[in-house]
Amino acid sequence: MACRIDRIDRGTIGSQDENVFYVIHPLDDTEEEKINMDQPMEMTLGVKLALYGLKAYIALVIVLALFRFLSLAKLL
Amino acid sequence: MASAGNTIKQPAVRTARSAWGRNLLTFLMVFGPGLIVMEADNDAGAVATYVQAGAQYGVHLLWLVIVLLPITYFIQEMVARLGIATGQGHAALIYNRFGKWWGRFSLVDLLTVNFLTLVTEFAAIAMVVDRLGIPVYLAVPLAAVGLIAVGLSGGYRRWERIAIVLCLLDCAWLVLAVVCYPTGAGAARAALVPYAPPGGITLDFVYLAMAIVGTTIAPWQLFFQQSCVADKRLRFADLKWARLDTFVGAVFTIIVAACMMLVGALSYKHGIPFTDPAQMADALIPIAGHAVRIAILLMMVNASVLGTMAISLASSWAYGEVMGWPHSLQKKITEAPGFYAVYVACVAGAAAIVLIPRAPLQTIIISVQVLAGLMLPPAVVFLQIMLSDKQFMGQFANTRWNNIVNWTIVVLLFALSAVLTVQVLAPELLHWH
Repeated sequence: MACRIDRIDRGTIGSQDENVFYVIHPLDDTEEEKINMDQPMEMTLGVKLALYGLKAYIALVIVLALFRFLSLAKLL
Repeated sequence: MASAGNTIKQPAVRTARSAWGRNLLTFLMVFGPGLIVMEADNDAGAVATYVQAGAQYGVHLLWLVIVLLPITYFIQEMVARLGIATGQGHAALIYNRFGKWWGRFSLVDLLTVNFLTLVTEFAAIAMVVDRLGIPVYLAVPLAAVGLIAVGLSGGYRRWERIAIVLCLLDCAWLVLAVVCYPTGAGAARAALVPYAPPGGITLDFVYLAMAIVGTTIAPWQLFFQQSCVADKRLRFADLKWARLDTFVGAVFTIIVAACMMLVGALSYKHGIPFTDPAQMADALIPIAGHAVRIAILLMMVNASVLGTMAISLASSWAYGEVMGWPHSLQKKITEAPGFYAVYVACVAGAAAIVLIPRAPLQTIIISVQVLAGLMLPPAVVFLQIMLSDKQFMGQFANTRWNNIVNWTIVVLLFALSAVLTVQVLAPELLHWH
């Protein structure tokens, strides 16, 4: 993508032809500044409910796994 | 910018003479993660599931594969978008945004299910080479060494090219499908118009349908593509090409999956009992010939190799992200020793387990199903929550219709994972055995 072309002096590349499009591989391009997601998520009501739901689901699966284990061991 | 005496290295720049040429060149540069993540999901387990579906029910489940196309695309599009926006992998984001508990839970579950899946991939390789008359104790270690060499081949681009070639080799399934099921009209009708198989919709039919859905959307895919996109350093402006890459990958994968089902349908047509794809390949010799048998077996190996390449990298990236280690294929072994050590350990460890006599492979397969069922709902819920955060995501946040579609998919996947997990762990609760 020629998105970084504004940071490159066309003169250094060699061509001043306006009909030439320059494309740079992402790995060869300068790194762009990304969105910083290092901060914790804001715990809105929706997010809290979703996380509680996930914890309940995980607990259910663990209980089922225990149930299966005990069944196979003929302890139930 | 160069000036007299300045030795700044210019980036490698390609030129195009037209806007169309520029777009094509850009797409080809961005192309890769979407295709690989989708096609690598057609691994040994997927081959077994799709071929079984064809062998047991003919073309009656083809429509389901088509229905899964938009679901897989929407999920992976979100992943690609999040990776491009943040430049980070999914594991790192879960750790940073949702805390250590969720971060470690996701990491441990991912590493465990990935490792067990790798065992099933090598088990499939072992099964195939055994049928080909090649000693398992020679072929499996060689496969492991080869896969390790590919991972350490030096550079993201080389790895990606190898992976893409392996993906494109799956075009052989199209040829096999034409040979095994030449009546395309019947297949097309079944793909577009669902209808019950003879005997009606039984519990086994429903279970296999759910297994197909579970096979088509795997938790490692979320982690793999986001890390891959981040490692490839895709830019904001690359998003539309990444979406196209993901869409092309989804279409290709669904077509290959449908072809696998059609190959299995030959077995259904002739009433051949099905045990596994390798057994089916042998049983089809009188009908389809030795060439088809060899092709099916080799494609099974290809599926396993491709799956192993992607899944082991997904683990390495995730572990490196959470541990804060350098974690890029662009780095040399000496620059990212931990990252490559995890990769080697995953591949070598999985291969070693398969070589153990009477290894509990059936238990491992069931464990994969349970752990995947445990892993998938949180991973997609985190994905959806993070992309709904307009404050952070800005232009990359979900739109309203995105949220409607995606939450619907999340709820469906959640319900499906729950039912599948219950079915495996406590079938008597659902009267399924």
